[in-house]
Amino acid sequence: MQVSKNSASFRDPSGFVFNENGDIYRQVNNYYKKDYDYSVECGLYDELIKDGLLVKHKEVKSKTNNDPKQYKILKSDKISTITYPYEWSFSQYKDAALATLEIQRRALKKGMTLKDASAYNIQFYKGRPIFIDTLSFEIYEEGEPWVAYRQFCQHFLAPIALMSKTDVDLSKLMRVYIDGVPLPLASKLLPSKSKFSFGLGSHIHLHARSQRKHASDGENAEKRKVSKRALEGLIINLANTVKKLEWRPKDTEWGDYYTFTNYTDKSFKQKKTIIEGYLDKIKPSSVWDVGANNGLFSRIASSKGIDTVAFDIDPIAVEKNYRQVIKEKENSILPLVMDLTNPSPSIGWNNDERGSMSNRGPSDMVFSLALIHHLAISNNLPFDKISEYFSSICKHLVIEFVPKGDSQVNILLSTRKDIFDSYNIEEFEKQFSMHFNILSKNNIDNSKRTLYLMEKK
Amino acid sequence: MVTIFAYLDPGTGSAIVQAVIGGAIAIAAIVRIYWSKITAVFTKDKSKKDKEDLRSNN
Repeated sequence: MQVSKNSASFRDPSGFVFNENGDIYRQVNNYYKKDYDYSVECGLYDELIKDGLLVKHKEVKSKTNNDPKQYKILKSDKISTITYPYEWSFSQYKDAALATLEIQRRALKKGMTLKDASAYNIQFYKGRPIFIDTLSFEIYEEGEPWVAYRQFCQHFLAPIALMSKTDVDLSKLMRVYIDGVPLPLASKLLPSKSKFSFGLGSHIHLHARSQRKHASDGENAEKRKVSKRALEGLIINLANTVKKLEWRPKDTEWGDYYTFTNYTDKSFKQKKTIIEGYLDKIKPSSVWDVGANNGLFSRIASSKGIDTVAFDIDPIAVEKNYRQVIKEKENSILPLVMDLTNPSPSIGWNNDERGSMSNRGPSDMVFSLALIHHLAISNNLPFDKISEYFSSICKHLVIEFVPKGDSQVNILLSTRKDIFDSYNIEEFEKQFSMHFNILSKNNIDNSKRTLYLMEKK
Repeated sequence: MVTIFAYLDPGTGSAIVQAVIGGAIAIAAIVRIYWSKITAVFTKDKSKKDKEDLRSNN
């Protein structure tokens, strides 16, 4: 019987991921038997799982999968939301890179090595980066180079260096290049003074030159010998290079960012209480806060243990949010960089390898707080388009209407002609009623704003 | 000769640069060990190295 193979799992002959009744399974092929058994016997799997570096899995029998190539079936813990590197904030990316290197360091200690270092093998689980590809380990033979070194540089070091030294938005290059940022391109885009630091100078610039020089000389790379000591040194050096990369927005201290609100303290508390009431009424299993800023309102949901994704377009807000997740050891909130007016598309082979934002939904509930004016006025999106889109990504919608006359809307209108005759609460309710039933409506005192709880029709 | 059935192509240029950088780091490490042994004779014992985990906030 055919099983439903995960569309991102086809490159590795060692096995593949499939879904059965909503659970995640991994088939281990006979091809990978020796490496699999060794990973178990040497204690690497147990150690990595214990320290939160590898997703938990257990050997099971499958009811439907009887593939003759099958050696074992593993059932893995489920990652609630799959994310991709072009959606990570700077520190999320850095932590993902360091987790990968730490796994490789521990694998080497046990006589194994990572055969790939794809950024797509890292996911965020309970707030922290975790490796999900159980079949990525192989037995290490003394003298062989790290086969995934180039991939590590393309998937991690190059984008993180570019985010740090050139522009934080260059993580989006990962959306263009499915196998990571080409090193000659990274070398060209990085400031030339980065050539003089040992880490970036060698792992990016020299590496790029060497790739160009040997691109077509046909020499077998596997003939090159790298001693174990050199390999361990290389891993530590890569980690030190990544750790040294910093990013701080110009003239901004993390602590000072985002102190503005458009509310008095009392109205602010009232807004929180209303949202809390909506959550208690619906009890959603998941929440997407699609204009989350630094996650203040997302935390009303996540603090109740609801799986919450806090999207924002601003990499500073998302970075700040992630730093709080780490500091407070929060495990239900996942900050992500996302431009709702141009969300992540489906990319890769057959446009089916990495899912779009909406492919990863629908979410049980969406928060759209203080966002409608940005969509309708800054982006000229008509209410019916917004309503239709939201109905495709959620079952319940908590949405705040911000009318003309509100100071934030006035700011948006101050620099342009007001062509938004239909931007009013009546039209808003009419268009949203096409796709939703309005369950509750609450005015927020001392402000012109209104909160709604809606349910998809 | 080790036979590797790698499903990733490590790339010739990447393997060469890895051998060069890895080699340089290994030599530097050896020099450092000997240097610290020499200087240890003259300096009082400073508490040794932090933990090995490469992750930053664990």
